[in-house]
Amino acid sequence: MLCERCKRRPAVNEIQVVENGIPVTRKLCRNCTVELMSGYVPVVKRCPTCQLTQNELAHLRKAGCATCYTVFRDELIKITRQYQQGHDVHVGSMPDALRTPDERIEERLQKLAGELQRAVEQEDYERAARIKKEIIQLKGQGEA
Amino acid sequence: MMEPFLKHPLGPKMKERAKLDDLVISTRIRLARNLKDTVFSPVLSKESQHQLCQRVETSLGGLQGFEYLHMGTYDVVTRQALVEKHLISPTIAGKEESAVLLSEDETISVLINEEDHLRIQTLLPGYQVEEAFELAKRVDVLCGESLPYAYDEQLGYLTTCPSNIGTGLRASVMLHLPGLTLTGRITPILKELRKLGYTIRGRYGEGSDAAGRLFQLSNQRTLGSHESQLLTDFMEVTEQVIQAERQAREELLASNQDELEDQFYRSYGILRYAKLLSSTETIERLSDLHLASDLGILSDWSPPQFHELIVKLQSGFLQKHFGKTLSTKERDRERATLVRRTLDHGLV
Repeated sequence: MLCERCKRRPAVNEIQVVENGIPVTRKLCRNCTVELMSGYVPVVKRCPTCQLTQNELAHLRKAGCATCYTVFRDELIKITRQYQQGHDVHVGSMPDALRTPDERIEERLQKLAGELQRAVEQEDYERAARIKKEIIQLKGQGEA
Repeated sequence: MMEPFLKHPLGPKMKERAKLDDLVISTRIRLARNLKDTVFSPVLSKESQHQLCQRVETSLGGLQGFEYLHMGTYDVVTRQALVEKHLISPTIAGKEESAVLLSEDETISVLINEEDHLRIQTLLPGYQVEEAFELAKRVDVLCGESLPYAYDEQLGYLTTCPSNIGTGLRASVMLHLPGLTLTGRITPILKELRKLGYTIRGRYGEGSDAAGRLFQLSNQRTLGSHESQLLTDFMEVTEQVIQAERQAREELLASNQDELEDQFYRSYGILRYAKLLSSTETIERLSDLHLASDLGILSDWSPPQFHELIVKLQSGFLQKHFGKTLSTKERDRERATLVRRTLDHGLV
């Protein structure tokens, strides 16, 4: 779904905003959320969904809701790097609802590659052959 | 219905023999998940926490073979017994507005209103990392069908604490490491594991000489690698620890057999005749019996038996067994009686 404000980028948040004095729920992209946020809360940066402030975040080092990851993106990425040995990019699986068929195949291939490595290490060549066969089949599907 | 879960210290699956179960007591996988349209659990009001429990129950409550247990319904001792069985976490045990969807065979727990909205946990006996993950993933897919997960393209599954972000995957194994403890090699190994980014702590708290020489090893990093890679790395490290433990045991047996046998018979004597037994001492003495069994000194003793006793003799479970609240001294007395009775049935 596209952002209801810019109508260009994908909407990632559902946020309560005040338009003409009336509170309404809008589906917004990350950029529009930040832009709106900076307009609404000039003094204390506060998450519009859970009301967590920047100071509270610095103290707790935890997010209050999914929107926090948009509103306090830089801060939370910094904390993430500290916890995650410098990493800040997810390369693992994603919710089924968001995946394309190609992505599903790609994920299965990654998983099989790990299993193949282990089977070879354990010298279980029968299992390795079975895994290899499945990899070839899946690669065929991906290209088809 | 809570009763079936409190009847036995181990669930049906846990009683089965499994790969490397002389050394690896159990394997646990946990996936942390949140919903994008709801404020995270620690910030939720009690009312909203209640609503979340209901929403998850409605979405998943129809699952075959699962029981929905709302924590507020049960007393503290009952919840403690579930923690001792590792079916729920201490966090949800302490929260009225939290719940668990528990599979009848006790291998799957979906914890609601933990630090994250959902903690999908699977627990299997012995060393079964991949199997436990497959099971957790299946439940995850099922939950994701009816509940909108909070997911970010860059950061993956969003969690309350960024220490769980990305895959939300924490794998852990409960290891019995008497060889490494007795030879003193455990200290440098613990240091090395921490340097490599793994957490290892005693089953009953911090410290290198953990009670019963039981250690829980788990991965710390949840982001930056695919789940399969995180698991492969974790298994590699676990297997190295297992190998080191085997070697330490062989060496102990070769050079200190008399001392080992002496220690085993002393522990056996204490367990057989003591009037009062604290939980910590019992676990330590049982650990000696378990080691003796692995080394072939003691027969008629199986890993599930060890596992069953260490759960059964803890405060919560003990009090459930006797159906009343017991003082510390009463607990120590009843524990000693229970151990005596078990040993009366003849182990050596």
